[in-house]
Amino acid sequence: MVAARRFLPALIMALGVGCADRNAEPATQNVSALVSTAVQATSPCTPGNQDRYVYRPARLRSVTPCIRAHGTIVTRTMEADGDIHLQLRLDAPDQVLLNAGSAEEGSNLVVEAICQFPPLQADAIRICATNPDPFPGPLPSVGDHVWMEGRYVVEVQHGAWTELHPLYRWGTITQQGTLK
Amino acid sequence: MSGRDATARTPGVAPSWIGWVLATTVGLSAGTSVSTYLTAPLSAMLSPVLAGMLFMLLYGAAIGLVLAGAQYFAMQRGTVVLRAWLMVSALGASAGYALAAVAGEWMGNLISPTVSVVISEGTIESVGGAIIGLVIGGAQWWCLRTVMLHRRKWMIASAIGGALGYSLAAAALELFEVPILKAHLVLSYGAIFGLFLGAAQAAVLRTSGREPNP
Repeated sequence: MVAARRFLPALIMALGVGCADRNAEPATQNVSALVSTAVQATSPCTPGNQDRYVYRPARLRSVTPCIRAHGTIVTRTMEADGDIHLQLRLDAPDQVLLNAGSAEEGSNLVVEAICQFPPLQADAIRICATNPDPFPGPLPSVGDHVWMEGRYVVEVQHGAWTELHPLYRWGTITQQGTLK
Repeated sequence: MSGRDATARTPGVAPSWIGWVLATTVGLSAGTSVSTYLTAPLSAMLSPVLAGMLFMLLYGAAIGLVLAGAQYFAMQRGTVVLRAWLMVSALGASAGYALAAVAGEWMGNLISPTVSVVISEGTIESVGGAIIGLVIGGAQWWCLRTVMLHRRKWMIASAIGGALGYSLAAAALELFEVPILKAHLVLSYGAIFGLFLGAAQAAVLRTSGREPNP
C-alpha cells in the first residue's frame, strides 16, 4: 500500500494546495549531491541502447549515465507501461544511492527493465513497438543477490525517488561474493 | 447471426443495459488480452513501419474486433449488420488508440513532470481514454444511426466513459496497486476500462434509444 500512501499526499496537493509537486524541488536541488555520491559508487559501466525507448522521458532526471548497484531483489511486478518494476534492497556500501524519496519505495532502489511486454498505456505502446532490442531477460527473482547496471535517475513525477531506469544488464553475486 | 438479413431499421439497441455493461467489460478485457499477447510477436516485424504506428493500428483493431463481437451478443437481434459492426468498431478502436498514443506522447512532453502526478498522469490518461471512447463511439454510431436518437449524447457518453475507465484503470493499477487487480494486470486494465465505457454507453442506450422490441 506504499502506492496508496503516496497517492494521498498527491491528491491533497492537487485539490487543496495547487499543482506544484513539493517533492520534486528537493530532488532537483539535490541532483548535484546525488551525482557526487553516485560517482563514488560507480564501477566501470557502459550505458546500453535503451534510453530512447523510455516513455515520458521528462519524468526522469538523469544523474549519471550508468552505474552499478549491488543488493537483493525484494519485489518484482509488472507495470501497465510494459516495464518490470524491481525493488533492490541495497547492500550497505551502496545505500548512498538512495535519497529521501526512496522511503516511499521501502528504502529500496527501484530498477525498471523497460518494454518487457506490450504496454497497456497508449503512449507507451508505440514507443515500445519501435524498440528493436529490449532487454532480453530473464530477470532476477525475488531473493536473488545481484548486481545491476542502469542509468541512475531521479523519478520526479511520483515520489522523487532514485532509480536505475532503464536496466542495462545484471548478474548474480555468488555466496563467495564473486560476480557472474 | 450473420446479420445479412438484418434490417438496420429494427428499433431498439440493447434489451438489457446490464447486459451491455457486461458485454463491454468482457469485450474490452478479452480484447486487450488478445491484442496484447497475439499482436506482440508482430511488434518487431512492424516496428520499423511508420515509427510503430502500424503496430498501434493493428493493436487497436484487434481490441475493437473482440469488443464489437461481445457487444453484438448484447444487442437486440437485427439492430446492426454484424460485419459492418465489427468493421467500424475495429476501425474506430484502431484510430482511437493511434490518436491516443500521439496525444499522450505530445502531452507527456508538454506537461511538466513536476506537476502533481494526479494532474499530469490523470490528464494524459483521461484525454487518451476520452479519445479512444470518442472515436470508437463515433464509429459505432455510424451503425447505430438509424436506431440511436441522440448522436451527441452517445458520443459524449462514450468519451466520458472512456476517460473515466482509462484513467481509473491506470489509477487502480499504478497508484493504488490493488493486489488482486495487479496480479491480473492485462485483464483488469481492460475490464475497468470496459466497465466505465459500457456503463456510460448503456445509460444512453437506455434513455436515448428507441424502445426495444418486446
